[in-house]
Amino acid sequence: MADLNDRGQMLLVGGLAVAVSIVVLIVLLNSAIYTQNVATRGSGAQADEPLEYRAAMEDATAALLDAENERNYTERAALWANATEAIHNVSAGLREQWVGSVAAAALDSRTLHNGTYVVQNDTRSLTGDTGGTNWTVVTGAEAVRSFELNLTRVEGETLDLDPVNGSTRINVSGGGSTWQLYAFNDSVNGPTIAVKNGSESTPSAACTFDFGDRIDLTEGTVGGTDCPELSFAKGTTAPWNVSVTYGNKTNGTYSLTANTTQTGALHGPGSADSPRWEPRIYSADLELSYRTPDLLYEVAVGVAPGEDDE
Amino acid sequence: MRGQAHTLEAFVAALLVLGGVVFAIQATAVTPLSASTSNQHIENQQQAQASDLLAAAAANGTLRGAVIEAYEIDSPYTNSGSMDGFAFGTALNRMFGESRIAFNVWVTTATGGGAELVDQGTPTDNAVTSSHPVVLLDDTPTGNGTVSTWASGPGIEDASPDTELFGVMEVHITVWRI
Repeated sequence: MADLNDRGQMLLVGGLAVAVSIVVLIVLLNSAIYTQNVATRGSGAQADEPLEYRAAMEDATAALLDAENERNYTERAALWANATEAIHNVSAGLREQWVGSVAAAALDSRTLHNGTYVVQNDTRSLTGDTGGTNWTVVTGAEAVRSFELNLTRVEGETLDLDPVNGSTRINVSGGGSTWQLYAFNDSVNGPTIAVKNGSESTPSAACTFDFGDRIDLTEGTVGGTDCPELSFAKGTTAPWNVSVTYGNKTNGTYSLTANTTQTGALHGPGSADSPRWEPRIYSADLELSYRTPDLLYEVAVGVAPGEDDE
Repeated sequence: MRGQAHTLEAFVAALLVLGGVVFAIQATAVTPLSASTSNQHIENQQQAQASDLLAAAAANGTLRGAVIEAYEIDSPYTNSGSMDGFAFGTALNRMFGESRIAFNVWVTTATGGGAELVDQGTPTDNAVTSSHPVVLLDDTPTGNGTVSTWASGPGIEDASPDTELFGVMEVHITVWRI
C-alpha cells in the first residue's frame, strides 16, 4: 500500500480477495456434500445376515434331507426322527454363529411331509409285486416328482383301447378325471408314447423314443429332449392316484417320488425285489426368524430336495 | 479511503490465517472419512469383497473344500504363492493377493474348536472380518475318505452322530491393506 490514493491497486487487491473467497467457499461446499454422501452410505450389512441365515438353512436342510433319504431307512419313524434331529442341529449350530453379532437366529417351526419312493430297478414287466397286470402304485399323492421310465420292450401296435390288444398305460387320476400315458409300438415310427389329458376322451401320439431312453413324466422330456405334449397330470387335480393297466405288455425300469404314505401293490422297504417302496421325507416347511435390536426378519421357506432337477 | 484499505488488508490477513489452519488440519488429523488407506469406505469395500467371495465360494461348493483343507494341513499357509492347490486359495489370491491386501482365514465350529487355513500375520487396526457358515455332511469327501473318518481326530467331532449331519462350521476372513 504505497500510495493510499492509488485506487487501481485497491480494486485489484479487493477483486483478488473476493475471488479467493468464492473459490474457498466452493471447495468447502463440495467437501461438505462429499462428506455427507460418504457418511450416509449404508454398509448394507443389515439385510445381509438374515438372508445369509435363510440361505444357509435352506441349503443345509435340502442337503440333509437328500442325505437322510439316501440312507434307505426301512421305517418311517426312524427317518422322521433323524431328519428332525438333523434340522434341529443345523439350526442350533447356525444360531451359535450369530450369537456374537447380538442377533437371535431361530427356527420357529418345522413341518416335514412324508413321501414315498417307488422304484423298479430290475428290468421286468411293469406289473405289481405279485405279477398283477392292473395294479395301483400309490394313492392320495399331493405331489409327484422325478417320475422316470426306462423301457426296453413295448407291445400293442395302435392306440386301441381294446383290452385284448391294449398297450401298457400309466394312469394318474385325480379330481374326477384321468391323465394317461400309453407306450406302444407304432408300425411306422417304432416305440411311441401317447398322452390322454384329463379333459380329453382319446389319447394322441406324443413322441417317439428308443429303448433305453429316459422318459421323464414330470419333467416332460424323452431321452433328454423336450416333449411338449407330455405334461404330467394335465387336466387333473391333486391328490392323485397312480396306477398301471396292462403292465405285462411292457418291460423296463422306473422310479418316482410321491408325497403320500399310501402304497399299492409294492414290496416293502428293505426288500431287494421290484417294484418296492421306501420311505422318504418329501419336503419340509421351515419358519425362520432373525432378530436384532433394530431388525426383525421372519420368513417361511419350503425345501423340497430334488425338486429343482425336475 | 484509508478505512477501506485497512478493512481489505484485515480481510486478506484473515484468509491467510484460516488457510494456514485448514492446511495444518488436513496435514495431520486422519478422520474416518479422510482419504487414506484407513478410510472407512475402503474398509466397507474390503468387507463387501470378503463377504462376496465367501458367498460365491459357498454357492459353488469350494468353501467346503476350504474347510476340509484347513483341517488337513499341518500348519496354516503363510505365503500366497503356495495356495494354488485348492480352488478357494486361488480365489483368495485373485481377489486379495494380487491387490496387495493381506488376509487371514480360519474356521470355527459351533462347539468352540477351529483350524487355521491362512495366517499372514497380525491384522492392523483397520482390518475387517467377514464370515460365512458351512454345513458339512457325513459323506462330504476329503482327501482320503469322508469327513466322518475325522471323528476321532483332535478338536473336531461329529456334532450329530445319529444323523447325516457332521457339523456347522464358520469360515472367517480378515483382510487389511498392507
